[in-house]
Order: sequence, then C-alpha cells, then structure tokens
Amino acid sequence: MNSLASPSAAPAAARRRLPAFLANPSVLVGGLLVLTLVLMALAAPLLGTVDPSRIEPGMRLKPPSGLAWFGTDLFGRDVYSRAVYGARSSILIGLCVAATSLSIGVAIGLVTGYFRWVDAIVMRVMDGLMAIPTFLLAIALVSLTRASIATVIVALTIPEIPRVVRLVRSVVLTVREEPFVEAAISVGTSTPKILLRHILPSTYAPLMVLGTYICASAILIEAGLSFLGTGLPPEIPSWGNMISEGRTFFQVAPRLVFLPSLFLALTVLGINLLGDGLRDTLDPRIAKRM
Amino acid sequence: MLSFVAKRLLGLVPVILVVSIVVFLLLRLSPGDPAVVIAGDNADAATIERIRSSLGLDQPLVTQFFIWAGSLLQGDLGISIFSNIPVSDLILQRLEPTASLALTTLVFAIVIAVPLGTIAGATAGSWLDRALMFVSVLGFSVPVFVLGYCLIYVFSLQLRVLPVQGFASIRDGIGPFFSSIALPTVTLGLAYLVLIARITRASVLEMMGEDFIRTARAKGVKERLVVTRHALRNAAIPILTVIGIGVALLISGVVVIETVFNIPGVGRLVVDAILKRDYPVIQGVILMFSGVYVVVNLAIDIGYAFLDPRVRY
Amino acid sequence: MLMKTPPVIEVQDLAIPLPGGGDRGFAVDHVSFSVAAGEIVCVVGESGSGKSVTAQSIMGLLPKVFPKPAGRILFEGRDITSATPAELRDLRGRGIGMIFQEPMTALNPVQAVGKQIDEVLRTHLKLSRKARFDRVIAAMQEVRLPDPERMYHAFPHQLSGGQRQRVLIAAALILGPKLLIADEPTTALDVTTQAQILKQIRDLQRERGMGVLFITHDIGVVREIADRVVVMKAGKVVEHGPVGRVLDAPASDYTRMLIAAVPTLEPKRKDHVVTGDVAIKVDGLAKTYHSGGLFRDRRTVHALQGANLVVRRGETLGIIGESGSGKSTLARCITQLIEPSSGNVTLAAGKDGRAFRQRLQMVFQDPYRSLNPRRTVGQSIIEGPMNFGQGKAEAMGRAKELMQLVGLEPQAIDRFPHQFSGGQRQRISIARALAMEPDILVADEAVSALDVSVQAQVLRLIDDIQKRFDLAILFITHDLRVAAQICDRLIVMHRGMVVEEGTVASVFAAPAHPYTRELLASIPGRAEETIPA
Repeated sequence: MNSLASPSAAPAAARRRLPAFLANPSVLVGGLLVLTLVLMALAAPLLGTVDPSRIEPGMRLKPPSGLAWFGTDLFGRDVYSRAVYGARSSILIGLCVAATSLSIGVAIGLVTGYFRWVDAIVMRVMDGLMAIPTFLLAIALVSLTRASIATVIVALTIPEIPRVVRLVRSVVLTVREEPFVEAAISVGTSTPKILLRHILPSTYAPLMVLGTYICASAILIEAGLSFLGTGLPPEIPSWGNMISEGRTFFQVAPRLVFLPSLFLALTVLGINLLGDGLRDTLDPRIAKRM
Repeated sequence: MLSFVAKRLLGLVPVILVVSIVVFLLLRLSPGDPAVVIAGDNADAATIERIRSSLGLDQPLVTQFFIWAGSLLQGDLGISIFSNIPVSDLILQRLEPTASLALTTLVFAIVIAVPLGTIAGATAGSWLDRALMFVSVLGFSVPVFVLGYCLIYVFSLQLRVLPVQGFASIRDGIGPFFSSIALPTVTLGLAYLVLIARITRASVLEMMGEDFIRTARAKGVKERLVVTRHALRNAAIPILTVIGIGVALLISGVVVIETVFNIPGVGRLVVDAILKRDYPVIQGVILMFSGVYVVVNLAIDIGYAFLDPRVRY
Repeated sequence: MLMKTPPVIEVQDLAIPLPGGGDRGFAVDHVSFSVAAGEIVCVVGESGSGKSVTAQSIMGLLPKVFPKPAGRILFEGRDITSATPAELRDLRGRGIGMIFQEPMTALNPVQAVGKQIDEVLRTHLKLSRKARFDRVIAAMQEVRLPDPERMYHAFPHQLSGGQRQRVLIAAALILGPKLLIADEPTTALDVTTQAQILKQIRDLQRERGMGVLFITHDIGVVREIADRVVVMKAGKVVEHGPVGRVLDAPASDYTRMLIAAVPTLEPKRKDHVVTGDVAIKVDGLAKTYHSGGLFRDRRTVHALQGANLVVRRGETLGIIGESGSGKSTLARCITQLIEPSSGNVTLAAGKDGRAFRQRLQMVFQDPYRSLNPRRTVGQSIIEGPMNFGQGKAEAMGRAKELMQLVGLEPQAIDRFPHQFSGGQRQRISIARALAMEPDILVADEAVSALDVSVQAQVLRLIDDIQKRFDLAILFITHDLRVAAQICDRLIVMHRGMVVEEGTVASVFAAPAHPYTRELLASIPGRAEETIPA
C-alpha cells in the first residue's frame, strides 16, 4: 500500500499566505500608511483640530502660528483642521466606489464570462462605456445633479464597472477551461454551483488588487473634480476643494495648495503600494489582466 | 488583411452606438426637466421654453435620440446655449493648444518610457530597475494638478526659468512654444510615462524568460540584440495596448492641466461648459474625446496585425 | 602513431550547487564524462537528475539562479569555464549547436523562420544577403523541410511541431559545429514524428562526424540512438558505458529499475475473456467545427467522423491516436462535455433509472489541474454524490472507504490537492469517479503525465478496480506500451477517423492500416523486443 507523502512545499495553501504578504515591504509600508490615514480620519476631532467649517473673517490668510498650525485660508478657516477632516470624504468615497463597483462588476462578469450569448451583448456595452474617458463621464454625471458625496460615489462607480467586468470575465474564461471545472460538470454539478463554488474563488485575489487601484483612482478623480469646482460642494472639507480654493493665492501662500496635496499624495501612494504588494505576493500574473 | 481591417471597423459600430446613447442619455435622464437644468437657477419661463423647443424636448425619447443622432451623423454637434455658436466651431477654435499638448506629451512619454522600461526589464533587480519601480509608484500617486503646482513653484516661481502659465502657438516661434508647453508636457506626461515604462518592463521581463530567448543566446547572439530583436519585439503588443488605453489617462489629464496652466484648449472649454451647464458643448466635447480614443485604439488594433503574424488572417 | 585527438567535449568533475545557497546539495554533483567526435552520448535520467542543468552549463546558458559551477569543461581540449562572455558567444552557434525540448516555444513567434536560421549567419559571418539566403535554403533542404523558399517566410505558428524542430536543427547545424547538444528534442513530439527526427539527427551526425550529447528520460530513445550512455540520478552519474552493456547488463540497481519500469509491448490481457453485457454503445458519433464567417472563407474541420464502438462490462477498450487524431474529441463527446454534431451514445438499460452523470465517470489527464486547488480532496470526492442527494455524513464515510481502496490514508481526506504527489492525485481522481458508483469509466490519458514507475502503480490500480466493480473502461492514450498493459481491444484513430480495430494482440501482430504500421514501427526501442503474436 502506498503511504502518504508528507505535505509538499508548494506555496499554494491559503492559510499560509498571510504571513507571506505581510512580509512584503510594499504591503507593509502601504498598509501602515493607509492605516494611519484611516485612523486620522476617524479620530479627526481628537487631533487638535477646530471646526473645519468655522469662518473667522478676522483671521483671513494668516500665516502658520500656534493658533493655526498651517495658517488659515481665504475665509479664515483653519487649514490643518480642514486637511485632517478632508481625509474623511476622500477615504469614504474611495472605499464606497471600490466596494460598489466590485460587487456590481463581479455579478455581471460571472454571468458574462460563462454564457456566450450574454457575453456578446454585455461586452459591447462595456466597450462603449470604456471608450468614454472616465474623468469626463464622471464630471458630466456629477454636473447633472446637485453634487453630494452620494452622487460623486455613483458618478465615479459607473465608469469603473467595465474594468471590473473585464477582469472577472477574463478569469472566468480561463478557469472554466480548467479540468477541475470539467470534472465538476462530469459529476453533475449545476451551473450556478460551478460559478459560485469553483470559479468565483479564483477572482478574489485579482479583485482585491483591482479594488485597491479603483480606490486610489476614485480618490484622485474626486480630488480632480473638486479642484475644477465641479465636485463636492465647497462647504464639505475635501482636499480637492482646498487645492481649488488655494490656487488663486498660490503665489502668495503655496502652503494652501501643498498641505492638502501632501495628504492626497500620501493616501494614494499608500493605497497604490498596498495594491502593488498584494499583486506581487498573491499572484504576479494578475498584472497581465489589468 | 483587408478583411481584418473591415472586421475591426464593423466592430466599432456597437461601440459608437453605446457611446452616443450614453452621451445622449446624460442630459435626458437627469432628474427633473433638462430644460430647467440647462437654464440654471435664475431663468425665467420664456428661456426655459426656448431651450425646450430648441432641443426638441417635447418629442418622445426615442424620436429625440434619432433626431439628435441624425444631425450628429451630418457633423452637427448642436449649438452652445451660452454663446449661440455651433459646438463644432467652438471645439475647432480650441483644438490647437490641446492637440499640441497631446502630441508633445505622447512623444515625451514614449521616447523616454520604452528604452527605460526595456533596460529595467532586461536588468530586473538592478538599481535602475528598483529606481524606476519606485518613481513609478510616485508617478501614479501624485495628482496631475499637484505635480503641476510643484513644477510651477520650482521652475517658474523660484528658478524663474519658465513662464507660470499660458500658451504660445508654434506659429509664434519654436522658443516661446516650447517654453510655454514644457511644464504642461512634463506634468501631463509623467503618469503616462510611468504607465508605459512599467508595462514595458513587465513585458520585456516576461519575454526574457521565454524559450526563444535561450535559443537566441544559443546561437551566440549579442545580449543587446537578444533584448531588442527578440524580447522587445515580442513585448510590442502589450506596450502598444497600454499606449492606447493610456490615451484615456491623457484625456482626463488634459482637462485638469489646462486649468492649472491656463491653456485655452478643449479641456478648458468643457470645464467652463460644465460650470455654466452648457450641455450641447459638454456632449460635443465628450463625443470628440471618445472618438479620439476609439480611433487611436482602432489604429493600434490594426497595428497588432503588422507586429504579430498570429493575429493576421 | 597519430596524436590522440582530444574529445569534442570533456566534462571534468562538474559541480553546480542548487540555487538558493545553503548546503542543500548539488544540482550536478561532481560529474565527469566526454563526447568524442562521431559518437552520440545519451545522458538519461528522471526529472531532477540534473541532466538538463549539465547540458545548459556546457553552453554557458545556466539560468541566473544557479551559482557559478565548479570543475572544468573542455571543448576540443580548451577550458571554456574561464572563457570571456564574448568567447563563449563565439563558441555558441559556431562550435556548439543546441536544440531544445519545446519546438513550439523555442522559436521567436513574430520572426519568419528563415530569418531565425539566418540569424546564426548574421551573427558569426560577414556574408552578402544573397549568400546568406542561399545557405539558409540549403540548410533547410538538408533537414528536409518542404518547399524551403516558401517556408523561409513562414512564421512558426504555421509549421507543425516536427517542422519547427527541423528549423531549430537547421539553425543549430548551419555553421557545422563540432558538437550538437540535444536537450529532450523529441519529448514534446508525436511518436511518428519522433522517429523521423531521431533518424534525421542520426543521419546528420554520421554525415558530418560530429559529436552529439543527447539528453533524454526515455530508455526507448536511448536504445534507438545512443553509442554510449551516462545514467544520472539526483545530480550524480550512476553508471556509464557503451549502450549495449548499460542497457542489457546494467551494473546498478537504479539502471535496472529504469529499464524494468518501461512497459513491454506484450499484450497482458491476451488470455482475458470478456463475458460481460454491453455497457455502452456509440453509433456514428461525429463532431464538426466551423470557423470563419462574414469576411473569411468558411472552414470546416471534421474533428471526429462517424465513430462506432461498443464496450462490455469488465472490458477495456483502448483508443489510440496522436495529437489531432480526434481521440480526445471522441472522449469528450461520449462524456457529454461537448455536444456531438451527430450520432448517439447509448448506455445499456440500467438499474433504477440512474442519471447519465452517475453511470459514466471520467479520469482526466492532468493530475495537477483536475482537482480544485481550493477545496479539500474530501470536498472534491463528495461533490458528486451530494449533487445526487446523498447526505454529507454518508458521503464522507464512503469517501474515506474509497481513499482506503485507492491506496491512500482515509485521514488525509481533509488535505488540499497540493499536499499530494501526481500519482496520489490521480488516485484521488479515481476515488472521485468511483464515488458515483459508475458502470463506465473514461480515462483520458490518465497516466501520461506520470513518471514510469508511478505509471505502473496507477495502471495496476485501474486494473484492480475494474475487476472489483465490473467496470467498462474506455482508455484513451497515445502510448502503445501503456495500452498493451491494460487493454483488451484497441481502436486506432487518425485524422478524426477510426482506421483500425481489433484485439491488442491482433492489431500488434497484423496491423491492417498503413498508419497503424507506421505507429508500431515508430515505438522507440521496439527493435530490441519481439512482439508475440
């Protein structure tokens, strides 16, 4: 009788992945950066801030001081407090856009990849949506309605869906040719079970990576919209709004632009590092699908 | 080959159809009366009525689409509500700065990115490779307008070597043209550059592991030629693909960058139109940019056939 | 007295540590051998024996993960381990030519094949374009590529596997190197193509009097081509000597084991009498693919044409064919994984109306991909029974019994596929099929991906379960030696058609169709065996 070999060194075991991806420097640095910024957004009132919307006409465009660490803006609002609170809208928008576009995209992608006749129709629609530049589509969608966090999220989600659908579809198309799927068919497993049990799990790793990229891109686009004055209403403290308001005084007070810019860049950098690190540790081949 | 091109052209029809339906619906499906939306907050009843009939909003939706699409096919993008000038004229007036910027950026990014990415891919793990990977994450993370202000701060305000803002046409002379377009080009091109460089690196690196590379080395071919003649040549398709997809990035960037550098191009036009809710202009510009994207990617698609014999039929 | 000429290549005490550093040992462990002009030396060994690493280090093409080798490599008496990169480059292509295992991937897919041969000339000589073209055409003629002037401009994907390997041979030999290194050059090819390529290498070697270092895992191929043999195991040379002595009177146990593991061509079931009822009947099964459309000429591919067959319970029918013969299409049509264009598959009237998917089960070729890597083997085995209403506890209990039956520990049921070896996974696949209590088992190249020794064990298991459950088995394979071990009858497929049918003994002894005769003649090492009628 053939005795069992000891477990091999194949690195595929799901539970053994965890330490591996924490050991990746990109994941570590990016993750810490993101974690810090999330904590900052949550704990904004505890970080020596004042009400970010309080207007003090006597304090207009004051340079940094003990009272206002990074000075005040055109309306006498505290720049530091606004930048700290700005993390809330950016991170909220990033996470919501990633979550919604992923869930909608997965549902469409699974069905699209598996059934040929749906595929032809859905993919043409997706191609059409992809042909419209993301930023312009978002800007136009926001401009239709009164801008609010909710409408910005919807407007940023719609252009991202085709990317998710394409990714999920490409995974489905590959995995459904795998012999283990044929094996499942030949023991009489129904199509919905095959999709959910055998195919869906293969999309988790690439979706996690794509999710981080969508989150980063949503934060950047939101900032861009607000920068152009077409995004969040000016009373909501957001980095894009701050840069937009500050640019008029850029030559006199560049800090009005640079502080929110720094926060914005650090956030996106953290998320991108996290995404790159996840991609490299989970499966380097993912890069080819995106 | 001809049938290949014909097939690709035919494949564009549904894409263009979807684009035009989406652009059409943008305005028509906005909550509330589009005429009121267009007219803005302080318009009187007569203005709203005028807009309603001029846009044919009293017709059923499908009829409206066919009327709109019909005039579109004749090159009629409608008339600006704000200035009463045909949208196509408005776009044409603003085309030169945008086209100049797009071309300089394209050249700037590709000329630097492809050699850089190739060397990094062929020497994966070297200091150059690591440096490129690090800079590329930065390049993706800094928003164009932030980068723009940083460059203005350094080169225009501190060093005072380049103008802060504005645009000089190439007809005004090479010198003014390049000094006015240098910063916008670098700003807009950086993200595009790192995108292309990363894909080039990844594709070349992947090709370097292929069996035919080993064959080439076994023939005694010089390493430089192994990289260019075999690895880069086979990596061309993903590189070309990302150049095409990246055009979307370029278009988004143009819209923002023209505001940062105060360039009177199509990007500025659409931002002003959005602020004024000048819908025909918004629609016209979106259609134009989508058209550019589709045509560029069609050209690239056809380019595949020249680069890879396996695509040819 | 003539001065003794040095061997073309002499490897002295070559040692290459395993990548990753540490003291885990050597990929190549102090190996010495030589190849003289005019002889073919085969290095034979199983995967991981270090035979390919040895070959690559001679060319200076060792992957970067390996540390620098120790020992000496002498090319015509000159030590090349200390050669500069430029000197080594000059040697490659001019002094030593090399061909590889995968002709599919060893050619640059976007360069015309003529250009790829020409590259050797461009690299090493200064010749006019016309002179180079003429030499390339001559080289292509020499390796018998048809219509060389047209094929010069063809791309690799337009050529067959054998033609691609000929292109690589032409490129390797165009400058008349003293040594040809052939690293498993026929492993990826069909057996009839393999026979042609082996003959080609042998002929060219004799004409030119060059030395050939031939790497292979296949004892049959060694018998066909070698003058001398070097047997390697785990980086060490186990045995070497003239081919006749090593293969017919091996000195080491390992060599004896390697030789014994190769299945013989003697039909094992010559005396097996099949008495069972008909279990499955296939009538006029055909599959046609259409391609093209609006802008292209419609192309019709007849992947399978009018196949008829009958298998009884307790009987194994072998379906023999090379790639593209339609044997896999036939298997997939029978198992309803694809829909046939016409024809019927009829199962015998069964007990209590069980479903098709319960009565007919499949074992797949690739043991690494036929089990879902994210599910435990237990989950994979019970999936089928649970689809048909069995309770989880009951199914699990049965799964454990089946694990025992196929020779695995029942407790291992909670492990994941990657924790098992290839042969063990194939046992799990068999257990999964048996869990459905099928009447018919379709095994599609079920042992092709396994090492010869493991192959024999899995074949024994299949034989065993057939007797125990009175199964009708369709055994699809390209390997006539394997078929001889397990099949009662054979059908031979060629270009989508069944060209021959009969008992194993009668097909082997008196093949009626020319293709069957070619197939039989191509089995490497066959000359040494007699096939009993």
